Amino acid sequence: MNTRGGSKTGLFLIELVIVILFFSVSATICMRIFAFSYTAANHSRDLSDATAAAAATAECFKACGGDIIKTAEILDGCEYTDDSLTRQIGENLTLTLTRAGDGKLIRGKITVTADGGEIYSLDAYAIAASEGGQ
Amino acid sequence: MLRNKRSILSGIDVVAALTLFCVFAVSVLFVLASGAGVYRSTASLLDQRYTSRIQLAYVAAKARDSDGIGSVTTATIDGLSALIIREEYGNAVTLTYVYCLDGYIRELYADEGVAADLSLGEKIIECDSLVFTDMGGSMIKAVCGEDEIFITSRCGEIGDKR
Repeated sequence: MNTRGGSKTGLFLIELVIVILFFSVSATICMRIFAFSYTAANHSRDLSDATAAAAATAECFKACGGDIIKTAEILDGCEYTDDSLTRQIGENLTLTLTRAGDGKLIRGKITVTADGGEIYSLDAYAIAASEGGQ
Repeated sequence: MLRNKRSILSGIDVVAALTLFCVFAVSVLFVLASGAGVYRSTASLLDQRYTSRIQLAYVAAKARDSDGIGSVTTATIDGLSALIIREEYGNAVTLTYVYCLDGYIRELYADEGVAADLSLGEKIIECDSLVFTDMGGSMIKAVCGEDEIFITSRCGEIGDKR
């Protein structure tokens, strides 16, 4: 009697171990998918923020006739020189605007980086402002 | 004595099986909770981003649709910041007011010269706040929550202030 009871318990244990083994494999796959999903959502959020910030910077750059200093005065929280501008977007994004060109057509290279890696870039072109106006 | 030993071993078997089953149940619950948490955060994040972007995208599209010299201006009406789009159809001049009132972006279409009753505007999309600022020259800044966009006139400087 006890042997049969022991045998039943043993069989149950073996079955449970096999079930847990399959569950472990499935859970591992699920956790990988969850982690990938979370990472993808964060990347999507960063990309969305980057495109919006880059578009706003490009609009300002065009409206200011390619003048970095005027652009920096309109945008909040900028560090700038004559030829470049840096702005922090959110917690981990950095936007950089670099001015190039001395003629009538001014090119602005806008780059958004996160943790050192570039996630979005945009070229903006502006007509240099003439004297006495924009 | 032998009987007691067998009963003890039998009890240990049962406890081991139950413990293993409890560990399995806890693991299942942990995986389910993790999945639900990731789904909730992802859905919330995407919904928040979509909501803020779509409001400003609508305003920008509306302004650029009527892009032209003197066509798009800003004003404060009854304490509300509004975007005013001026359109001419033959001899008739109409104004479209875009503003935020009672939690919605609204649009009011009226003839020029008619006093605008902003409470009659048609609801477009939900929005907590929408503020327009004329930055001078050819640029208007629209701020919705924490997001902002700059709308510049492609056809020339934005003129008459109303």
